[in-house]
Amino acid sequence: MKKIIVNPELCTGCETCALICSNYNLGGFNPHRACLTIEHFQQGIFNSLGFCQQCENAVCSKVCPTNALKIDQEKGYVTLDKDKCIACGNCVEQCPFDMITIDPDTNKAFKCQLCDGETYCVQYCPYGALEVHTK
Amino acid sequence: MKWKSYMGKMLIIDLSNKSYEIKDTPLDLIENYIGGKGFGVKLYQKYINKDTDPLSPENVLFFLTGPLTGTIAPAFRSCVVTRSPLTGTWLDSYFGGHFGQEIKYAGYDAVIIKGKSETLTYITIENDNIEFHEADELKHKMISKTTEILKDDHGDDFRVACIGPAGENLVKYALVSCEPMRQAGRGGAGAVMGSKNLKALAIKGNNLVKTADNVEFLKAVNKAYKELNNSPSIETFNKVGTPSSIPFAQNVGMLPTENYKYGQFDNSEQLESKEQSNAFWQRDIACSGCPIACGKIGEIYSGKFKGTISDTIEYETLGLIGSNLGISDINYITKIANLCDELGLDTISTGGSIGFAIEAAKNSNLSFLNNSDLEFGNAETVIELVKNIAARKNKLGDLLAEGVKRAAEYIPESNKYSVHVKGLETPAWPPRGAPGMGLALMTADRGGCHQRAFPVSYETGSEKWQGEYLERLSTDKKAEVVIYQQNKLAALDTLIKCDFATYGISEETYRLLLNTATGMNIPKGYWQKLGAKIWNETRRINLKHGFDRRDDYLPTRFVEEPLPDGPAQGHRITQSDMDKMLDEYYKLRGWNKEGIPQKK
Repeated sequence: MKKIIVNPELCTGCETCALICSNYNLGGFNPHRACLTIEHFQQGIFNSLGFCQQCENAVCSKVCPTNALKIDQEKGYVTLDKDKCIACGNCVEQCPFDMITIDPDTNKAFKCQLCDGETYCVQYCPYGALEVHTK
Repeated sequence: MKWKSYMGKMLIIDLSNKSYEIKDTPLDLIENYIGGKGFGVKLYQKYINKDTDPLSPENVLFFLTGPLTGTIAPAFRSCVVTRSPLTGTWLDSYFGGHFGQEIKYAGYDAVIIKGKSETLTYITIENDNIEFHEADELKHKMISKTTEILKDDHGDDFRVACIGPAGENLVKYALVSCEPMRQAGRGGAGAVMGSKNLKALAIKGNNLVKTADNVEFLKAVNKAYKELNNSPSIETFNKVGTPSSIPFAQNVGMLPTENYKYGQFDNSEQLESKEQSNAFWQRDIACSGCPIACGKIGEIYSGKFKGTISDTIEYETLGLIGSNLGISDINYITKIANLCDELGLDTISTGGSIGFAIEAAKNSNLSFLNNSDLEFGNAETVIELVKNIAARKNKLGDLLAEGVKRAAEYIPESNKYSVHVKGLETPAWPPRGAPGMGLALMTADRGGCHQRAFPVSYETGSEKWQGEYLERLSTDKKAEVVIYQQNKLAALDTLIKCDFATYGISEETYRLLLNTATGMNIPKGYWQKLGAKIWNETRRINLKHGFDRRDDYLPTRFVEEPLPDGPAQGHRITQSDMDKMLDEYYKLRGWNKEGIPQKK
């Protein structure tokens, strides 16, 4: 499985990762709407980024009643079939990392799927703070 | 909305009756004035009269964005426009960070604030949910504490713009802090906010900023990234930030020292980047979507001020709080800058005002200036003065809170060393060895400012103007350089560009970013036309407020006192130099000899 990891020493808090994420996934810019999270501490001396961990034993996939969430070993991440999602919220409730939300516009689950392998947040980070880690 | 990347709405808040309305952003405003400064000049004339007292409920505060604000395009900001209580002129003051982006995410191109609340208030804006709150617990709270309390109460993802005690006390150069360490610093917008009893705005939203042609827009973004990566100036901003200008200013004799008396500072090396890097820099910090990361943040590691959190002490602050006050200890300068930031004071005007006071103490017999501690290099006294200015405590603090121009009116014969243009304390680029910079300060629409045009690099030989090097101390061709820069920067301030990014991103790339984001078809050559139109508008605004040619001159120090040191030693900008440059400048702008625009 693959996941995105961060070197917090290199993160400047510019939120370019979250901007490109929302643009790729939702067609517009707003860092609050990304499927990654950013918290600023001590006025920005330290930023903490949260990414979907693409768990080997993903609890979101276990609690999904419609099989919309699946562990895809070949692709290397937990996939989401939006057509199957009924927005029950089980995955949101059970994710130990709070990395799934229900998108207010689509009313479907919303999670990181590594931009179908493109990982634009990694590509666009101006400081090389992000990388794809393969387990 | 016909044009993409705009939100299509403006939020208009009336504090007098705690009401608001949401209106469409007029299409003709967008099509003729793009955003930011362009929106500002039109809205200003709609809402503010020639006699509007800047600190009255009738003055209006405009928080304005541009079409690229909130997108991934590098590096776009936001601005505050209002009538300045410091100068009485038009005021546009710009800020980076994340607050302006959040205005867009909440669904607005502009937030317009009118009226006055009876009691201290703050406003929360979450999309179209606007609430007014009593701000008793925030009264006289510092900037970072105010921000922290509002985030604790309403959520970390709110972005906060607020004033400190200086704004509440109507210090004429109080700033608006847009999240800590990012400020609309100049001209006293914080005092306007204070006069309205508005302590803070907290804002967040979940709207998306959508572009017209996403594929082409991202190509334009990548072009901008490449241009930034290829620019040696941008590399310098990234590695060492604006303190890199200290050795340059020292070498060319343009580092303000002891209330602008000198152009070189004996201890200038102590103001260079290395000193603050050793004192507190831990990591790079950047504004929204910015790949430059000119900011360096950290906590002072040791000594008396250990634990003080600071972003880069910028060149302007090093010049005005450092050399201009004879202070070279970077820990003290950092502490004083931090105090200004927390109290909500513009460091440029604060340094200018205190420098003036120290010189006045030497030259005046007034009893409140009779203080042997008032001398250059005395950092402890400066700390006390900064606190007293913000609190308007005692005669001196209260007088300096009015700025140099008004303070000089009170102190006999002090105009010889009162340094301001139109009431705005000048920046850290004293112009005696660079007449073009003098003209830039003389004609800047908000008073003595270096951000409307900065011809110094052409004058000191680091850049060619139309293929040739300009004579540094001559006035020749300086008017055309200043006009070109003023027009370009005003036009790009409709997008609300970052000044630093313009060292890398080309005019053509700005055009591509705008067109692909909005769907407009702005032609090549548009920026100069748009900029000239905006300069005519701000000129008309200032003329209506009673400013004219007589206000377009430099302070006595730069005109009558020859520069005592540096490579331009012995030089000054004479009355005839100024007249010659102004005549040429007005003519090239299509203004008459009195500086009145002639063409509609």
